[in-house]
Amino acid sequence: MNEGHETAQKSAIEKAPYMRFLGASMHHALVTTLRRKRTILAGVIALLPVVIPLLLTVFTEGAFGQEGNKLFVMLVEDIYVKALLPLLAMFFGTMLIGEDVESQTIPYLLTRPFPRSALVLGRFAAYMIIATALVLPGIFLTFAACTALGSFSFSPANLRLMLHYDGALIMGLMGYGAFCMWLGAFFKRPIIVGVTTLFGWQRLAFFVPGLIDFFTIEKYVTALLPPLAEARETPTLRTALAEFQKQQFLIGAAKSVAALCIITAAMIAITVFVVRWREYSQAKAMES
Amino acid sequence: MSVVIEAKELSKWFGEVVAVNNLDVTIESGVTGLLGPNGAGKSTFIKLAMGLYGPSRGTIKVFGQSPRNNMDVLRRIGYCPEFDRFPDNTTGFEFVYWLNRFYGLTGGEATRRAEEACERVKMTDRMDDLIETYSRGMRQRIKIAQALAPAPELLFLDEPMAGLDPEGREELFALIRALGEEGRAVIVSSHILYEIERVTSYMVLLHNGCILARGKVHDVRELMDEHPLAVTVECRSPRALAAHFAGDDTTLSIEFDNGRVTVRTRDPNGFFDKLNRLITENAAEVTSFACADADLQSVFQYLVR
Amino acid sequence: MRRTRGRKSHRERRTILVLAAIVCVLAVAVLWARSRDPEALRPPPRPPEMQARTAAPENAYHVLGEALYLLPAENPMPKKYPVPGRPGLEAFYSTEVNSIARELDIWAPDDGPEVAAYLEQCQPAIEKAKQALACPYFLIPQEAGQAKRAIGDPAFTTLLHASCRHAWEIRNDKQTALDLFFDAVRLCRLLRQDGAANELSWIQSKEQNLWRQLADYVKETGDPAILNHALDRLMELEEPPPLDWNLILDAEWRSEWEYLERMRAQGSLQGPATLANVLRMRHERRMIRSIINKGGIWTQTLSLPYPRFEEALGGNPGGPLAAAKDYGGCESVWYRLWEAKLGQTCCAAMQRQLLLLALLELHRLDKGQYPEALAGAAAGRLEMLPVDPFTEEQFQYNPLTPERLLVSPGPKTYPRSLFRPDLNWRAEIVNGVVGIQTTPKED
Repeated sequence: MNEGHETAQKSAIEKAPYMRFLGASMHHALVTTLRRKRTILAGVIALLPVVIPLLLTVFTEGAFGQEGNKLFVMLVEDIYVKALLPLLAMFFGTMLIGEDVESQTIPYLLTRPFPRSALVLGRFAAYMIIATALVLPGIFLTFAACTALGSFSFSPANLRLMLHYDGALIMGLMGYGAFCMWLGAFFKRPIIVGVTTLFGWQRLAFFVPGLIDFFTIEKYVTALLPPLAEARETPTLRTALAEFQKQQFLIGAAKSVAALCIITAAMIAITVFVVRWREYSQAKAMES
Repeated sequence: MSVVIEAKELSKWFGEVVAVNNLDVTIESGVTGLLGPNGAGKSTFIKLAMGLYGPSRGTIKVFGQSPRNNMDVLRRIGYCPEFDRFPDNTTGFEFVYWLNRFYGLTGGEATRRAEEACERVKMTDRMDDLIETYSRGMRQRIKIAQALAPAPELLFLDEPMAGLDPEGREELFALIRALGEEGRAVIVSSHILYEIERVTSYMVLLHNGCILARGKVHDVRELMDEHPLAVTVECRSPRALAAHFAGDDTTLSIEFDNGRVTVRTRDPNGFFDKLNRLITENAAEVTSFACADADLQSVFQYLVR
Repeated sequence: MRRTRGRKSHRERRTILVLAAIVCVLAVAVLWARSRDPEALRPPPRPPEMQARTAAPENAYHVLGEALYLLPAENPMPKKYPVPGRPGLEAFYSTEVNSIARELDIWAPDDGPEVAAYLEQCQPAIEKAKQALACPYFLIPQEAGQAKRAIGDPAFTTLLHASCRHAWEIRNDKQTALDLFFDAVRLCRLLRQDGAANELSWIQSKEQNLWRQLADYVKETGDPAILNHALDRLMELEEPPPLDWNLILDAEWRSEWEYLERMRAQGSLQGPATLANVLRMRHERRMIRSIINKGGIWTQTLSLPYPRFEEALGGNPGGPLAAAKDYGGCESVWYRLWEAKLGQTCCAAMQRQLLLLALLELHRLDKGQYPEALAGAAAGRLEMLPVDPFTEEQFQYNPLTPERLLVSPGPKTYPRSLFRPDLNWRAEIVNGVVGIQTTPKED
């Protein structure tokens, strides 16, 4: 029996480097997310805004149509930033840990010698890859479609604007995604909590006077957007004042980036903590 | 025989429900049976040992360390859970493969071990099919495969025989015994004494979160000799089946109910041997059978007195 | 994930392929949208040589613009001829200067002194406007906007017409009146050069009014010297020049564009009406562009003489006539082109009849009666008798019915009759006057 025990010990797995765990977690999350039909649905939703300028080029002409610049800014700021970002983050972010919790397959993960931080970080990285891959082509195609309308072209200034929006959106995906990932790890009904906070609390916070809106992610994402982008072709005193106001009285871009990074890091850390210490599958405890 | 699990005054409660109550137990390497009815605390004890729960009171040590979030301990143990849950859109092979990767194995090593594990549980032919297409027994096998794949020193099998056909059970019994002979520690939980008897000679009896008895199986079995085991068999011809057992001395009573026959016997081993023979000889078209917990409950009531 | 046996999973590839396919489809759609001309509705800019001509000082537009600002600002007869309310029209169009010019057409003898005083004040503007007659062409700049309405409108032709009437009827200076008359006709011909179809029909109807005026004078004068003077001027006056269809279509396009831009600026063009207008305009402009660019049967039809033009319109059900009906009446480009052709031909017919009428009156005054045949009146004065442009034959000559001395049956159909199948339309030109009669069709 001792020889057998030694055999058992020799076949035991040696400790693997941390990056291998991180890679495995990310790879697994990428594969499972790509297999879901919901990912196709999310992609379709992320690409829907492209249809709007295409329809406008068919049904309107030149000066009787929308200006491409205004339309692009409206689509990005009103649809992508305000609606699609939180939607995609909820769609994918809550599933990262939440799906294993809901399907009660998380014990498989938690009984592995898998650093919890590697699990969380790997899945978060997969989410960022997929969400970015869904959103950025949408932005680019929307931009290209808007150039078919009047007063908008592939000029360096316009491309810079698009890249500016890309950066803001990625930061937003990061912040929203980390928050939603924590929701999925912590709450039984993360979607309900997510809708309440992202579409309820965030809206309410902007109406309530004071500093409450500092406790939203939308504030920091919005602060990253260029002010009065539809008027940037004709810089005026109004545009300059808006930029000054943003820097002095609201919050500037650097602070917004820092805030979003802090939110992301904090949410990831809390998620790791929750995954480490929460006792999942309590409901089943009664049956055993 | 080295000590693999040591629990001292181990208790775990969930709100007002006490799942494990002041357990003091030491488990050594080899195959150990955890026996108890539903709600006895078997799975909770296993989860405490796996580190899925933290103790409410007391301590539990696996390989001399606390298992909770302890990667060194987790690297040496495997777990086949009771619940029948799997990730969606995953084949059996992928399920085992990815759980191997979560052990820190490289892709090639994970593949090799996954294939070996699937072969060991005889799932090679179906391992590339989606788990959703598996029968209950196949799903059970694939669960065992993922537990075996990393070749752990300590293996927890929570109700591993559930859903398996008689042939599958026999294969699993042989596998568990082989694992014990390899020097691995295997903890098998069940609410059927017969199943525990087939794999080990040492068992721990749990009831309401407490240890009622521990020791050799036959010692405990002797206590139950006066208390028969009731087995309900569902088959096409209940009366024809009953006729085979009616003449046995160990058969205490036979009852019929809606296509089922319940046989109370003092010799479960003999009963199951005979039943297996009848099935394999196609003398009886059995669709299912179950042991009535009521009889087992009566055993524990006896032990509790 | 390397495998040694069994089939490999492709499910994640499916997602990537489906999304990539959607992106490709959208990319193709975007490329198609970008390849479309966003300014398809906007009329093309004039060629550089045309722009140079437009800016040149010899463009009559600039001369008339200066003349416009020489007009007096006040209405001398505000109580009798109040400026009627014209809600919705732009202010410049409803200035008192322009309304006065129109109001002078409402003639009352007891207004003689006020009118004479007003015409005296307008004299510098009238002299300036006459200078425009020496210009070789009239082209309205594309950016003229609202100013073009005042200049393009026959305000000056109306002033000249009023001066002519004042000279003939009040001051009894018939020679001067005839000079002013022919200046007005020449100004009409000059203004027509820009080709904007809305203004074109207005100018053509103004010219027809002038010819009607001359017909009255020729009938009543009884003075051979005046008739000879009129005849000399008529023989000097060239035929109405052929219409430049490209210019007309471009001007039509520009006019329509400016209208929609004006409505849009006022906020009158919104919602579904905007979409319907834009779609209709886009469809029509494409047809116009195809007319201009592709030529072929369209250009051939437009260049035909009037009778064959009318046959070509009516003969082919799938041709322009059908297009006119499809577009719903007066809004159709074809309708307006047809009206322009008709107006042109009417003016030519009236001019030719008046030439013959002057000759016939001179013959009557000389010989005491009209000649038996038209050739008798033209002997020694005309080498060739002018023919009826509607029939391309001689005018009907009825020496025994002076009130129908010269008759042209006019067009076989009238554009408006296209849309009133319940009516019989008859448009005759009798003694230099166009008369349109409608009678209900009998069942």
